[in-house]
Amino acid sequence: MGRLSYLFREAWRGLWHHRSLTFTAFLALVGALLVPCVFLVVLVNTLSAVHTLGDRREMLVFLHDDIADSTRQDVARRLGLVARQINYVSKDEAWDEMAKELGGDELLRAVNENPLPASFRVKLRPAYLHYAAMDSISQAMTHVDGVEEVQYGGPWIRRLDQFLQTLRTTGIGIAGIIGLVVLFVVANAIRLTVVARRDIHRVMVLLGASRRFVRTPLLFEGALVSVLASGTALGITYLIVLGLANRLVILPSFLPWRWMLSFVGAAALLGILGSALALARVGREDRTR
Amino acid sequence: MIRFAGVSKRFGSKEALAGVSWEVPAGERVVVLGASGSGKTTLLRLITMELLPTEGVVEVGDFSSARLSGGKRIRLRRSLGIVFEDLRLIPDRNVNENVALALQVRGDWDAKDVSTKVREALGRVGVAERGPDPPSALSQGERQRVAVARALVARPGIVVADETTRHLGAEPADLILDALRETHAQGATVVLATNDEGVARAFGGKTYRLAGGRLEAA
Repeated sequence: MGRLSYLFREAWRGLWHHRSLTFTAFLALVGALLVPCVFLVVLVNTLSAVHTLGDRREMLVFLHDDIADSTRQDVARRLGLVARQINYVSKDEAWDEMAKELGGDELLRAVNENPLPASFRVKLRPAYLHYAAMDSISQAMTHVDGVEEVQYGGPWIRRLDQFLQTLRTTGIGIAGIIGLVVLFVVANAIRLTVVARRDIHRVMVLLGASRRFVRTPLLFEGALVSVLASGTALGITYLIVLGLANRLVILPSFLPWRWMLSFVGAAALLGILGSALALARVGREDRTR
Repeated sequence: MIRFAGVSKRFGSKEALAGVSWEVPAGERVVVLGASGSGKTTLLRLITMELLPTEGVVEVGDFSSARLSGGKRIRLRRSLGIVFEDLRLIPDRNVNENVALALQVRGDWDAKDVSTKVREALGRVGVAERGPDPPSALSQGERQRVAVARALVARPGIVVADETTRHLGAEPADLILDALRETHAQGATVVLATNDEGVARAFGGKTYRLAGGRLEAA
Protein backbone atom coordinates (compact mmCIF):
# COMPACT_ATOMS: atom_id res chain seq x y z
CA MET A 1 0.00 0.00 0.00
CA GLY A 2 1.56 3.26 -1.12
CA ARG A 3 1.73 6.37 1.03
CA LEU A 4 -0.99 8.16 -0.92
CA SER A 5 -3.44 5.28 -0.84
CA TYR A 6 -2.69 4.92 2.90
CA LEU A 7 -3.61 8.60 3.34
CA PHE A 8 -6.88 8.12 1.45
CA ARG A 9 -7.76 4.97 3.36
CA GLU A 10 -6.97 6.54 6.71
CA ALA A 11 -8.96 9.67 5.94
CA TRP A 12 -11.87 7.64 4.63
CA ARG A 13 -11.67 5.31 7.66
CA GLY A 14 -11.89 8.32 9.97
CA LEU A 15 -14.85 9.78 8.08
CA TRP A 16 -16.67 6.44 7.93
CA HIS A 17 -15.97 5.61 11.57
CA HIS A 18 -17.83 8.77 12.61
CA ARG A 19 -20.27 8.80 9.72
CA SER A 20 -23.14 10.56 11.50
CA LEU A 21 -20.79 13.31 12.67
CA THR A 22 -19.21 13.44 9.21
CA PHE A 23 -22.62 13.69 7.56
CA THR A 24 -23.70 16.52 9.89
CA ALA A 25 -20.46 18.40 9.22
CA PHE A 26 -20.85 17.75 5.49
CA LEU A 27 -24.42 19.16 5.43
CA ALA A 28 -23.36 22.22 7.43
CA LEU A 29 -20.48 22.83 5.03
CA VAL A 30 -22.67 22.39 1.93
CA GLY A 31 -25.15 24.92 3.39
CA ALA A 32 -22.39 27.38 4.18
CA LEU A 33 -20.57 26.94 0.86
CA LEU A 34 -23.77 27.42 -1.15
CA VAL A 35 -23.75 31.13 -0.20
CA PRO A 36 -20.38 32.01 -1.79
CA CYS A 37 -21.13 29.64 -4.66
CA VAL A 38 -24.32 31.51 -5.59
CA PHE A 39 -22.52 34.81 -5.04
CA LEU A 40 -19.76 33.75 -7.43
CA VAL A 41 -22.33 32.96 -10.13
CA VAL A 42 -23.86 36.43 -9.64
CA LEU A 43 -20.37 37.94 -9.78
CA VAL A 44 -19.42 36.07 -12.95
CA ASN A 45 -22.59 37.20 -14.69
CA THR A 46 -22.19 40.78 -13.48
CA LEU A 47 -18.56 40.92 -14.61
CA SER A 48 -19.58 39.48 -17.95
CA ALA A 49 -22.27 42.18 -18.29
CA VAL A 50 -19.82 44.86 -17.21
CA HIS A 51 -17.30 43.58 -19.75
CA THR A 52 -19.91 43.94 -22.49
CA LEU A 53 -20.86 47.41 -21.23
CA GLY A 54 -17.19 48.25 -20.85
CA ASP A 55 -16.77 47.91 -24.61
CA ARG A 56 -19.22 50.77 -24.94
CA ARG A 57 -17.34 52.96 -22.53
CA GLU A 58 -16.24 55.30 -25.27
CA MET A 59 -14.77 58.73 -24.92
CA LEU A 60 -15.82 61.26 -27.55
CA VAL A 61 -13.36 64.07 -28.24
CA PHE A 62 -14.99 66.81 -30.36
CA LEU A 63 -12.69 69.03 -32.41
CA HIS A 64 -12.88 72.67 -33.51
CA ASP A 65 -14.12 73.13 -37.10
CA ASP A 66 -11.03 75.04 -38.10
CA ILE A 67 -8.51 72.60 -36.66
CA ALA A 68 -5.28 72.26 -38.61
CA ASP A 69 -4.11 68.81 -39.69
CA SER A 70 -0.98 69.04 -37.55
CA THR A 71 -3.04 69.97 -34.48
CA ARG A 72 -5.43 67.10 -35.15
CA GLN A 73 -2.48 64.72 -35.41
CA ASP A 74 -1.16 66.06 -32.11
CA VAL A 75 -4.54 65.35 -30.45
CA ALA A 76 -4.49 61.82 -31.92
CA ARG A 77 -0.93 61.28 -30.65
CA ARG A 78 -1.92 62.33 -27.12
CA LEU A 79 -4.96 60.05 -27.17
CA GLY A 80 -2.78 57.20 -28.42
CA LEU A 81 -1.03 57.16 -25.03
CA VAL A 82 -4.19 55.95 -23.25
CA ALA A 83 -6.27 54.42 -26.04
CA ARG A 84 -6.40 50.92 -27.46
CA GLN A 85 -8.47 52.09 -30.46
CA ILE A 86 -9.06 55.53 -32.00
CA ASN A 87 -11.49 56.28 -34.83
CA TYR A 88 -11.54 59.67 -36.54
CA VAL A 89 -15.02 60.80 -37.63
CA SER A 90 -14.95 63.78 -39.99
CA LYS A 91 -17.74 66.39 -40.17
CA ASP A 92 -19.11 64.73 -43.35
CA GLU A 93 -19.05 61.26 -41.82
CA ALA A 94 -20.85 62.57 -38.73
CA TRP A 95 -23.48 64.14 -41.01
CA ASP A 96 -23.96 60.87 -42.92
CA GLU A 97 -24.28 58.88 -39.71
CA MET A 98 -26.89 61.22 -38.30
CA ALA A 99 -28.82 61.14 -41.58
CA LYS A 100 -28.80 57.37 -41.45
CA GLU A 101 -30.01 57.36 -37.84
CA LEU A 102 -32.83 59.79 -38.64
CA GLY A 103 -33.89 57.71 -41.62
CA GLY A 104 -33.22 60.40 -44.30
CA ASP A 105 -31.74 63.87 -44.69
CA GLU A 106 -35.00 65.87 -45.04
CA LEU A 107 -34.75 67.26 -41.53
CA LEU A 108 -31.09 67.99 -41.99
CA ARG A 109 -31.80 69.85 -45.24
CA ALA A 110 -33.48 72.50 -43.13
CA VAL A 111 -30.11 73.32 -41.71
CA ASN A 112 -28.10 75.27 -44.22
CA GLU A 113 -24.68 74.21 -43.05
CA ASN A 114 -23.32 70.98 -41.43
CA PRO A 115 -23.26 71.94 -37.72
CA LEU A 116 -21.71 68.66 -36.56
CA PRO A 117 -18.07 68.71 -35.38
CA ALA A 118 -15.38 66.25 -36.37
CA SER A 119 -14.42 63.96 -33.51
CA PHE A 120 -12.25 61.15 -32.24
CA ARG A 121 -14.07 58.09 -30.87
CA VAL A 122 -11.70 56.62 -28.30
CA LYS A 123 -11.76 53.18 -26.69
CA LEU A 124 -9.49 53.41 -23.68
CA ARG A 125 -7.11 50.74 -22.48
CA PRO A 126 -8.63 48.55 -19.70
CA ALA A 127 -6.45 50.22 -17.06
CA TYR A 128 -8.24 53.54 -17.72
CA LEU A 129 -11.78 52.17 -17.78
CA HIS A 130 -12.81 53.63 -14.45
CA TYR A 131 -14.27 56.92 -13.39
CA ALA A 132 -11.19 58.56 -11.85
CA ALA A 133 -8.96 57.86 -14.87
CA MET A 134 -11.60 58.80 -17.43
CA ASP A 135 -12.39 62.04 -15.61
CA SER A 136 -8.75 63.03 -15.39
CA ILE A 137 -8.12 62.18 -19.10
CA SER A 138 -11.23 64.13 -20.05
CA GLN A 139 -10.11 67.21 -18.12
CA ALA A 140 -6.60 67.04 -19.55
CA MET A 141 -7.88 66.69 -23.13
CA THR A 142 -10.32 69.61 -22.74
CA HIS A 143 -7.31 71.92 -22.46
CA VAL A 144 -5.50 70.52 -25.49
CA ASP A 145 -5.33 72.84 -28.47
CA GLY A 146 -7.98 72.02 -31.12
CA VAL A 147 -10.32 70.20 -28.71
CA GLU A 148 -13.75 71.72 -28.25
CA GLU A 149 -15.38 69.27 -25.84
CA VAL A 150 -14.90 65.82 -24.30
CA GLN A 151 -17.80 63.49 -23.43
CA TYR A 152 -17.59 60.14 -21.65
CA GLY A 153 -20.78 59.56 -19.61
CA GLY A 154 -19.22 60.46 -16.26
CA PRO A 155 -22.14 59.86 -13.84
CA TRP A 156 -22.91 56.49 -15.41
CA ILE A 157 -19.28 55.36 -15.16
CA ARG A 158 -19.18 56.53 -11.56
CA ARG A 159 -22.29 54.51 -10.67
CA LEU A 160 -20.85 51.44 -12.40
CA ASP A 161 -17.58 51.79 -10.46
CA GLN A 162 -19.46 52.17 -7.18
CA PHE A 163 -21.51 49.06 -7.97
CA LEU A 164 -18.36 47.03 -8.73
CA GLN A 165 -16.76 48.28 -5.52
CA THR A 166 -19.83 47.23 -3.51
CA LEU A 167 -19.72 43.83 -5.19
CA ARG A 168 -16.04 43.43 -4.29
CA THR A 169 -16.60 44.45 -0.65
CA THR A 170 -19.59 42.11 -0.35
CA GLY A 171 -17.51 39.30 -1.85
CA ILE A 172 -14.69 39.82 0.64
CA GLY A 173 -17.21 39.96 3.50
CA ILE A 174 -18.93 36.74 2.41
CA ALA A 175 -15.60 34.99 1.87
CA GLY A 176 -14.46 36.01 5.36
CA ILE A 177 -17.64 34.91 7.13
CA ILE A 178 -17.95 31.63 5.24
CA GLY A 179 -14.24 30.96 5.73
CA LEU A 180 -14.74 31.22 9.50
CA VAL A 181 -17.83 28.98 9.35
CA VAL A 182 -15.89 26.31 7.40
CA LEU A 183 -12.98 26.51 9.85
CA PHE A 184 -15.35 26.17 12.81
CA VAL A 185 -17.27 23.19 11.38
CA VAL A 186 -14.16 21.29 10.21
CA ALA A 187 -12.19 22.04 13.38
CA ASN A 188 -14.97 20.69 15.60
CA ALA A 189 -15.61 17.59 13.49
CA ILE A 190 -11.90 16.72 13.34
CA ARG A 191 -11.44 17.49 17.03
CA LEU A 192 -14.08 14.90 17.92
CA THR A 193 -12.39 12.40 15.58
CA VAL A 194 -9.01 13.05 17.18
CA VAL A 195 -10.42 12.64 20.68
CA ALA A 196 -12.23 9.42 19.71
CA ARG A 197 -9.11 7.96 18.06
CA ARG A 198 -6.68 9.10 20.75
CA ASP A 199 -5.91 5.52 21.88
CA ILE A 200 -5.20 4.43 18.32
CA HIS A 201 -2.87 7.38 17.81
CA ARG A 202 -1.10 6.49 21.06
CA VAL A 203 -0.45 2.96 19.76
CA MET A 204 0.94 4.40 16.53
CA VAL A 205 3.30 6.64 18.50
CA LEU A 206 4.46 3.65 20.59
CA LEU A 207 5.20 1.77 17.39
CA GLY A 208 7.43 4.64 16.28
CA ALA A 209 5.07 6.89 14.31
CA SER A 210 6.11 10.52 13.98
CA ARG A 211 3.68 13.37 14.64
CA ARG A 212 3.47 13.87 10.88
CA PHE A 213 2.53 10.23 10.32
CA VAL A 214 -0.35 10.52 12.79
CA ARG A 215 -1.50 13.99 11.79
CA THR A 216 -1.32 13.98 8.01
CA PRO A 217 -4.35 11.68 7.54
CA LEU A 218 -6.35 13.95 9.86
CA LEU A 219 -5.42 17.03 7.82
CA PHE A 220 -6.36 15.06 4.72
CA GLU A 221 -9.66 14.12 6.35
CA GLY A 222 -10.53 17.81 6.84
CA ALA A 223 -9.58 18.54 3.25
CA LEU A 224 -11.58 15.57 1.94
CA VAL A 225 -14.84 16.54 3.67
CA SER A 226 -14.40 20.16 2.51
CA VAL A 227 -13.73 19.09 -1.08
CA LEU A 228 -16.81 16.83 -1.10
CA ALA A 229 -18.93 19.63 0.38
CA SER A 230 -17.65 22.28 -2.05
CA GLY A 231 -18.22 19.92 -5.01
CA THR A 232 -21.77 19.29 -3.83
CA ALA A 233 -22.39 23.02 -3.33
CA LEU A 234 -21.18 23.64 -6.90
CA GLY A 235 -23.48 20.88 -8.17
CA ILE A 236 -26.52 22.32 -6.38
CA THR A 237 -25.71 25.83 -7.66
CA TYR A 238 -25.43 24.45 -11.18
CA LEU A 239 -28.90 22.93 -10.86
CA ILE A 240 -30.22 26.29 -9.58
CA VAL A 241 -28.70 28.08 -12.61
CA LEU A 242 -30.15 25.43 -14.90
CA GLY A 243 -33.58 25.94 -13.31
CA LEU A 244 -33.33 29.73 -13.69
CA ALA A 245 -32.24 29.42 -17.32
CA ASN A 246 -35.72 28.15 -18.19
CA ARG A 247 -37.39 31.12 -16.48
CA LEU A 248 -35.14 34.05 -17.42
CA VAL A 249 -34.83 35.84 -20.73
CA ILE A 250 -31.10 36.32 -20.25
CA LEU A 251 -29.31 33.00 -19.97
CA PRO A 252 -27.09 33.13 -16.88
CA SER A 253 -23.69 31.54 -17.32
CA PHE A 254 -22.12 29.17 -14.77
CA LEU A 255 -18.65 29.43 -13.25
CA PRO A 256 -15.64 28.89 -15.53
CA TRP A 257 -13.53 25.77 -14.78
CA ARG A 258 -10.74 27.82 -13.30
CA TRP A 259 -13.12 29.47 -10.82
CA MET A 260 -14.59 26.11 -9.83
CA LEU A 261 -11.16 24.60 -9.23
CA SER A 262 -10.13 27.65 -7.21
CA PHE A 263 -13.32 27.36 -5.16
CA VAL A 264 -12.72 23.67 -4.37
CA GLY A 265 -9.02 24.38 -3.73
CA ALA A 266 -9.87 27.17 -1.30
CA ALA A 267 -12.33 24.88 0.50
CA ALA A 268 -9.64 22.17 0.73
CA LEU A 269 -7.18 24.66 2.21
CA LEU A 270 -9.74 25.79 4.77
CA GLY A 271 -10.39 22.12 5.61
CA ILE A 272 -6.67 21.54 6.21
CA LEU A 273 -6.46 24.71 8.31
CA GLY A 274 -9.53 23.67 10.33
CA SER A 275 -7.97 20.25 11.00
CA ALA A 276 -4.69 21.87 12.00
CA LEU A 277 -6.55 24.09 14.47
CA ALA A 278 -8.33 21.03 15.91
CA LEU A 279 -5.03 19.16 16.30
CA ALA A 280 -3.39 22.16 17.96
CA ARG A 281 -6.31 22.45 20.37
CA VAL A 282 -6.30 18.74 21.28
CA GLY A 283 -2.51 18.92 21.70
CA ARG A 284 -2.94 21.86 24.10
CA GLU A 285 -5.62 19.98 26.07
CA ASP A 286 -3.35 16.90 26.30
CA ARG A 287 -0.47 18.98 27.60
CA THR A 288 -2.55 20.64 30.30
CA ARG A 289 -3.91 17.30 31.59
CA MET B 1 22.37 -2.91 25.26
CA ILE B 2 19.83 -2.05 27.95
CA ARG B 3 21.08 -0.41 31.15
CA PHE B 4 19.21 0.65 34.28
CA ALA B 5 21.28 2.79 36.67
CA GLY B 6 19.66 3.22 40.11
CA VAL B 7 16.20 3.39 38.59
CA SER B 8 13.19 4.02 40.81
CA LYS B 9 9.66 4.53 39.61
CA ARG B 10 6.93 5.79 41.89
CA PHE B 11 3.23 6.27 41.16
CA GLY B 12 2.11 8.61 43.92
CA SER B 13 3.08 6.90 47.15
CA LYS B 14 3.43 3.45 45.54
CA GLU B 15 6.95 2.48 44.56
CA ALA B 16 6.90 0.09 41.59
CA LEU B 17 10.67 -0.10 41.18
CA ALA B 18 13.21 0.71 43.87
CA GLY B 19 16.79 1.51 42.88
CA VAL B 20 17.07 -1.07 40.10
CA SER B 21 20.49 -1.39 38.48
CA TRP B 22 20.47 -3.85 35.64
CA GLU B 23 22.32 -4.46 32.41
CA VAL B 24 21.28 -6.58 29.45
CA PRO B 25 24.06 -6.90 26.85
CA ALA B 26 23.14 -6.71 23.17
CA GLY B 27 21.94 -10.00 21.73
CA GLU B 28 20.95 -11.40 25.14
CA ARG B 29 17.77 -13.43 25.82
CA VAL B 30 16.26 -12.44 29.15
CA VAL B 31 13.19 -13.38 31.19
CA VAL B 32 11.80 -11.13 33.90
CA LEU B 33 9.74 -13.28 36.23
CA GLY B 34 7.35 -11.83 38.77
CA ALA B 35 3.87 -12.05 40.17
CA SER B 36 1.08 -9.87 38.89
CA GLY B 37 1.58 -6.28 40.09
CA SER B 38 5.26 -6.84 40.80
CA GLY B 39 6.30 -4.08 38.37
CA LYS B 40 7.16 -6.09 35.23
CA THR B 41 5.05 -3.90 32.94
CA THR B 42 6.53 -0.76 34.52
CA LEU B 43 10.02 -2.13 33.86
CA LEU B 44 9.19 -2.79 30.20
CA ARG B 45 7.52 0.61 29.81
CA LEU B 46 10.70 2.19 31.09
CA ILE B 47 12.62 0.33 28.37
CA THR B 48 10.25 1.64 25.71
CA MET B 49 10.40 5.05 27.47
CA GLU B 50 6.65 5.22 27.56
CA LEU B 51 7.43 6.02 31.19
CA LEU B 52 10.43 7.92 32.52
CA PRO B 53 12.13 6.99 35.79
CA THR B 54 11.44 9.00 38.94
CA GLU B 55 15.12 8.51 39.83
CA GLY B 56 18.06 7.11 37.93
CA VAL B 57 18.69 6.67 34.22
CA VAL B 58 17.56 4.14 31.64
CA GLU B 59 19.71 3.64 28.55
CA VAL B 60 18.60 1.65 25.54
CA GLY B 61 21.22 1.47 22.81
CA ASP B 62 22.23 5.06 22.09
CA PHE B 63 19.18 6.51 23.79
CA SER B 64 19.09 7.78 27.35
CA SER B 65 16.06 8.71 29.45
CA ALA B 66 18.12 11.69 30.68
CA ARG B 67 18.37 13.21 27.20
CA LEU B 68 15.25 12.23 25.33
CA SER B 69 13.95 14.59 22.67
CA GLY B 70 10.83 13.89 20.62
CA GLY B 71 12.91 12.82 17.61
CA LYS B 72 15.05 10.46 19.70
CA ARG B 73 11.97 8.90 21.26
CA ILE B 74 10.63 8.16 17.76
CA ARG B 75 13.96 6.63 16.67
CA LEU B 76 14.11 4.54 19.85
CA ARG B 77 10.60 3.16 19.28
CA ARG B 78 11.52 2.28 15.69
CA SER B 79 14.45 0.23 16.97
CA LEU B 80 12.14 -1.76 19.24
CA GLY B 81 9.56 -4.48 18.73
CA ILE B 82 6.93 -4.26 21.46
CA VAL B 83 4.31 -6.83 22.43
CA PHE B 84 1.97 -5.03 24.82
CA GLU B 85 0.29 -6.88 27.65
CA ASP B 86 -3.08 -5.61 26.41
CA LEU B 87 -1.97 -6.23 22.78
CA ARG B 88 -3.28 -2.86 21.51
CA LEU B 89 -4.32 -4.07 18.10
CA ILE B 90 -6.18 -1.38 16.17
CA PRO B 91 -9.81 -2.49 15.95
CA ASP B 92 -10.78 -0.84 12.65
CA ARG B 93 -7.90 -2.36 10.66
CA ASN B 94 -7.58 -5.92 9.58
CA VAL B 95 -4.73 -8.17 10.67
CA ASN B 96 -2.60 -7.39 7.61
CA GLU B 97 -2.99 -3.65 8.16
CA ASN B 98 -2.20 -3.95 11.87
CA VAL B 99 1.06 -5.73 11.14
CA ALA B 100 1.90 -3.50 8.15
CA LEU B 101 1.62 -0.44 10.39
CA ALA B 102 4.88 -1.36 12.13
CA LEU B 103 6.63 -1.13 8.74
CA GLN B 104 4.81 1.97 7.53
CA VAL B 105 5.71 4.03 10.61
CA ARG B 106 9.33 3.20 9.76
CA GLY B 107 8.82 4.59 6.25
CA ASP B 108 8.45 1.29 4.37
CA TRP B 109 5.78 2.05 1.75
CA ASP B 110 6.68 -0.48 -0.93
CA ALA B 111 3.40 -2.38 -1.24
CA LYS B 112 4.97 -5.62 -2.46
CA ASP B 113 7.72 -5.58 0.14
CA VAL B 114 5.29 -4.78 2.96
CA SER B 115 2.91 -7.52 1.85
CA THR B 116 5.70 -10.12 1.72
CA LYS B 117 7.07 -9.18 5.15
CA VAL B 118 3.60 -9.17 6.71
CA ARG B 119 2.75 -12.60 5.30
CA GLU B 120 6.07 -13.98 6.50
CA ALA B 121 5.66 -12.54 10.03
CA LEU B 122 2.11 -13.87 10.35
CA GLY B 123 3.30 -17.24 9.04
CA ARG B 124 5.99 -17.45 11.73
CA VAL B 125 3.30 -17.39 14.44
CA GLY B 126 0.83 -19.54 12.48
CA VAL B 127 -1.89 -17.01 11.59
CA ALA B 128 -1.03 -16.22 7.96
CA GLU B 129 -4.56 -17.11 6.81
CA ARG B 130 -6.17 -14.53 9.17
CA GLY B 131 -4.70 -11.54 7.30
CA PRO B 132 -7.96 -10.11 5.92
CA ASP B 133 -9.88 -10.50 9.22
CA PRO B 134 -10.47 -7.76 11.76
CA PRO B 135 -9.05 -8.36 15.27
CA SER B 136 -12.59 -8.77 16.62
CA ALA B 137 -13.00 -11.96 14.53
CA LEU B 138 -9.94 -13.61 16.13
CA SER B 139 -9.66 -15.68 19.28
CA GLN B 140 -7.59 -14.29 22.16
CA GLY B 141 -4.73 -16.61 21.22
CA GLU B 142 -4.78 -15.48 17.60
CA ARG B 143 -4.79 -11.82 18.67
CA GLN B 144 -1.72 -12.47 20.84
CA ARG B 145 0.05 -14.05 17.88
CA VAL B 146 -0.83 -11.10 15.63
CA ALA B 147 0.62 -8.73 18.25
CA VAL B 148 3.84 -10.77 18.22
CA ALA B 149 3.93 -10.69 14.41
CA ARG B 150 3.57 -6.90 14.51
CA ALA B 151 6.48 -6.65 16.97
CA LEU B 152 8.75 -8.85 14.86
CA VAL B 153 7.86 -7.81 11.31
CA ALA B 154 10.40 -4.97 11.08
CA ARG B 155 13.20 -7.19 12.47
CA PRO B 156 13.95 -4.87 15.41
CA GLY B 157 17.21 -4.98 17.36
CA ILE B 158 15.41 -5.24 20.69
CA VAL B 159 12.12 -7.06 21.37
CA VAL B 160 10.15 -6.39 24.54
CA ALA B 161 7.29 -8.80 25.22
CA ASP B 162 4.88 -8.47 28.12
CA GLU B 163 2.96 -11.61 29.21
CA THR B 164 2.92 -12.68 25.58
CA THR B 165 1.79 -16.24 26.17
CA ARG B 166 -0.75 -15.66 28.94
CA HIS B 167 -4.03 -17.58 28.51
CA LEU B 168 -2.56 -19.60 25.62
CA GLY B 169 -2.52 -23.36 25.23
CA ALA B 170 0.79 -25.18 24.98
CA GLU B 171 0.93 -25.31 21.18
CA PRO B 172 0.28 -21.62 20.37
CA ALA B 173 2.50 -20.58 23.28
CA ASP B 174 5.32 -22.70 21.84
CA LEU B 175 4.82 -21.06 18.43
CA ILE B 176 5.26 -17.63 19.99
CA LEU B 177 8.27 -18.65 22.06
CA ASP B 178 9.82 -20.25 18.96
CA ALA B 179 9.33 -17.02 17.01
CA LEU B 180 10.96 -15.02 19.82
CA ARG B 181 13.84 -17.50 20.07
CA GLU B 182 14.34 -17.34 16.32
CA THR B 183 14.45 -13.53 16.50
CA HIS B 184 17.05 -13.82 19.27
CA ALA B 185 19.06 -16.28 17.18
CA GLN B 186 19.13 -13.69 14.40
CA GLY B 187 20.89 -11.29 16.77
CA ALA B 188 18.12 -9.38 18.56
CA THR B 189 17.98 -8.73 22.28
CA VAL B 190 14.77 -10.22 23.66
CA VAL B 191 13.23 -9.32 27.03
CA LEU B 192 10.22 -11.42 27.99
CA ALA B 193 8.17 -10.61 31.09
CA THR B 194 6.00 -13.36 32.56
CA ASN B 195 4.49 -14.60 35.80
CA ASP B 196 4.66 -18.21 34.64
CA GLU B 197 7.75 -20.17 35.74
CA GLY B 198 7.00 -22.82 33.10
CA VAL B 199 7.15 -20.22 30.32
CA ALA B 200 10.38 -18.81 31.78
CA ARG B 201 11.93 -22.27 31.77
CA ALA B 202 10.64 -23.05 28.27
CA PHE B 203 11.96 -19.80 26.85
CA GLY B 204 15.42 -20.22 28.37
CA GLY B 205 18.01 -17.49 28.69
CA LYS B 206 18.96 -15.55 31.78
CA THR B 207 16.12 -15.15 34.29
CA TYR B 208 15.60 -12.28 36.73
CA ARG B 209 13.05 -12.15 39.52
CA LEU B 210 11.15 -8.97 40.26
CA ALA B 211 9.58 -8.65 43.69
CA GLY B 212 8.96 -5.71 46.00
CA GLY B 213 10.31 -3.34 43.38
CA ARG B 214 13.70 -5.11 43.35
CA LEU B 215 15.18 -7.08 40.46
CA GLU B 216 17.54 -9.99 41.17
CA ALA B 217 19.10 -12.70 39.05
CA ALA B 218 17.29 -16.00 39.63
